[in-house]
Amino acid sequence: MTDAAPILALDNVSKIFRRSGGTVHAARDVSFALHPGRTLALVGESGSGKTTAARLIMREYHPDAGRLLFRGMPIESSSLASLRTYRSAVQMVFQDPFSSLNPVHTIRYHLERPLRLHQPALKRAERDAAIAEVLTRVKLDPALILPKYPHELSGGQRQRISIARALAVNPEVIIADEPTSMLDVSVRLGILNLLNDMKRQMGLAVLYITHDIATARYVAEDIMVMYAGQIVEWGATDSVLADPQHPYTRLLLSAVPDPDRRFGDADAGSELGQIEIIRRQSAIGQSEVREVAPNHFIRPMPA
Amino acid sequence: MSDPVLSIRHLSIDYVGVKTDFHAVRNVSFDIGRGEFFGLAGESGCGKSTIAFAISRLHRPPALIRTGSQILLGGRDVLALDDASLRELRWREVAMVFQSAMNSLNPVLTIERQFYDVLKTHTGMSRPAARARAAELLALVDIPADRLSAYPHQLSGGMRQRVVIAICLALSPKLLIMDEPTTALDVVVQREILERIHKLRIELGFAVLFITHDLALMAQVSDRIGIMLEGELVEVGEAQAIYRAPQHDYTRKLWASIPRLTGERIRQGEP
Repeated sequence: MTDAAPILALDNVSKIFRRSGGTVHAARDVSFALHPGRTLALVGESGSGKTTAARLIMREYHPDAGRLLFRGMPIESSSLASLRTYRSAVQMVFQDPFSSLNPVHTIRYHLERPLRLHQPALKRAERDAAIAEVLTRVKLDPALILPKYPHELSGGQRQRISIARALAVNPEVIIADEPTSMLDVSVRLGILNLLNDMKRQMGLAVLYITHDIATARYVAEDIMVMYAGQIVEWGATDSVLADPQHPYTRLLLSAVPDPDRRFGDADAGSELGQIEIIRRQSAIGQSEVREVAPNHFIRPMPA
Repeated sequence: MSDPVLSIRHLSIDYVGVKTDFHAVRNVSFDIGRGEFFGLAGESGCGKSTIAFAISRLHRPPALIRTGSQILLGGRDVLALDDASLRELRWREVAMVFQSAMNSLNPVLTIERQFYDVLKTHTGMSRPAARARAAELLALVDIPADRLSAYPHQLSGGMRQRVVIAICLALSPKLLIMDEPTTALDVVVQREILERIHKLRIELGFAVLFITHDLALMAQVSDRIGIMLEGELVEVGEAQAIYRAPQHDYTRKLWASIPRLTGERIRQGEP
């Protein structure tokens, strides 16, 4: 996607869950790379494998096949010390700001804890300064917010705390799993702007996971569309959105609410008439990759 | 509007507190015509769900409807009804799809049994008749009749939502209230469900009160839209007018905060 070396990469990673009713390919030969100062959006519906990808990166799941590369080195063979480095370099922002903060602890506790764990050498005054700095970054007033408990904050403020918590340890990579889906539309943009600012100011590599393809356009230089564990289309965001080639991407785009296309209009998009076929065919494993434009790829849907 | 199915006049609802009352709905008036698709938009806490609950008198203390408020449903004064008439009104005149409707099905009962509950209570229908009617209703939402013996957990979220809609249509209500019916669903599933509702209301002629914070979706499917801000209805108009020529500042701000797929990325900077 760019020439610079990626900081984090998945290389042909597969993850299979076995259940009584059969197997689920939650990730099927998934490859992508995160670069400093860039955002990669991972778009798909629930059950498409987006969160599995996040969990593979967070090392909550271990791949059944393929490798996770950190600064070019496979993480599996890393020593304990470099795993520690990895854990502070890769931070996560969760979907639900109402359940991802501990209700019995103050905001100070939430921000102090990552610093104590990852930078134990810091003196109290240094830690306080780091906390104040990170809160200012997310545009919250430290004096007002530190003694408060999560229930005293709005959803948008809580999500800012989640971002501050992730930023506290100076990470290089942020995995943001649906960070705005639980928020009101009017606060969503503030959070997206914040992610954009952080990316630019701190040179972060961001993986932005969402089901809302319209917001992906707002934050991400590159985009991947995932369905049934497989990345079916990927490339430069502008190219993928302006000229989608995979039927599933086109289906996803035609379902995005658009006040210019009223229900019942004839030009609603032919994909909406063949939802079942597209779902069934897109779920079939496809190893062929086709470059449809510079930096724009698809795995063609089997006919 | 002549002979509206729902007519709300000067509706004020407070959440009564120890020291102060929270004015959740302030002097709201609007009508919904027969067969009309009416959208009510606003952010969380603006009072839109409070209105939805009040229409079928499902509000509970500390919510209090202030005197001077009037809700007419099919010409009947909802706020003056006794319990027996209220039972008559619910499902028959007005049915409601709740926000987390996927979770509003009883997990230990089959789908068939949940249809039977409503049909027996309100029409005294026998079990075999209820089964036949339930199969008919499921067909309306594209679910095969063999799913009647399924339990809710055996269906996907979108299917569960469609089952709830089918149950709501069981007694052919004149008004279907949908409170954020698709917020927890994916866009493709959301589109399928609303497309279905859109077709059904044309076929069956019921009116819809559609509550959501997704203004773009609302403008796509509604005939008219009302915009709520802090308990007040600040703007009401044709969906296309609300979209193309919003009059109120807040409506314009709401539009400006929606990331678009085409054209301008929306203005940069804080909304």
